[in-house]
Amino acid sequence: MDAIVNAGSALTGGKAAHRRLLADLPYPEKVRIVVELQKIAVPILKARGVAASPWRLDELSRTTNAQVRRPQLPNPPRSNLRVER
Amino acid sequence: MKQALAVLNDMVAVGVIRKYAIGGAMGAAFYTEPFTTFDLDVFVVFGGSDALLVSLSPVYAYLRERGYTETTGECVMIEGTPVQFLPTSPGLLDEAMQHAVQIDYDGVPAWVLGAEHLLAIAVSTGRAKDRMRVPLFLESGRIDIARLTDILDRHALLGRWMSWTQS
Repeated sequence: MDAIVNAGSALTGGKAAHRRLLADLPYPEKVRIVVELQKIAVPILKARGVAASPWRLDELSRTTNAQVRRPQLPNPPRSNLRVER
Repeated sequence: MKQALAVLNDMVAVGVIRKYAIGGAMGAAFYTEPFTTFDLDVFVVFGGSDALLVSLSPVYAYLRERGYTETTGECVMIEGTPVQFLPTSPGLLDEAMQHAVQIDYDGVPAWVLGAEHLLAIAVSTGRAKDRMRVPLFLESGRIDIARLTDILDRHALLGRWMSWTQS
């Protein structure tokens, strides 16, 4: 029984901690998340006949472009680069 | 958002408004976890007279002159953000404006209503979506309960608060 109670409080505590983590995010990051939530909500609202559109923020497009992470590909084996004559 | 805040700051700098503060859902989201909202509620205070009837015409004229003519519902689109301007009123809103806090939004200063006042305004407004913000505020760890209780008590909102939080 104690184990169940402890597991429950651990889960609740984890959720609360996660919420505080989200609450402590930098403001621009919060706005970015709000816009992502808007993108999810728009089709649902439109289906209900409610006109809505996500914010068009230049700073987000700049951030997105700047934060694009390309996968780190390993260098090809040198043998593949050899030019056969 | 950053550019919209710069426009709001410029409105203060050129004297169109005396002060502004972000309120509503986006104001709340500055303190809580992010949640869905579609407009930026901005409370504004004008300089000069304390007339009860306040016109937002100077705000709209300023925006029109700078090309911000697109509107959606009651909002004006400013740099991609729909902004709704709301005049304050005597009582809780005026007090909230006096205690607004300055934040730094990625290098741009901005004024936001204080967390306890935002929560008190939500209680005062009393809609279902306002009620849904209560747990978000309480779980954010940003609410000073003694300060909130004082505000709610002075504005006769403790009864509703108790009914919201004890059921």
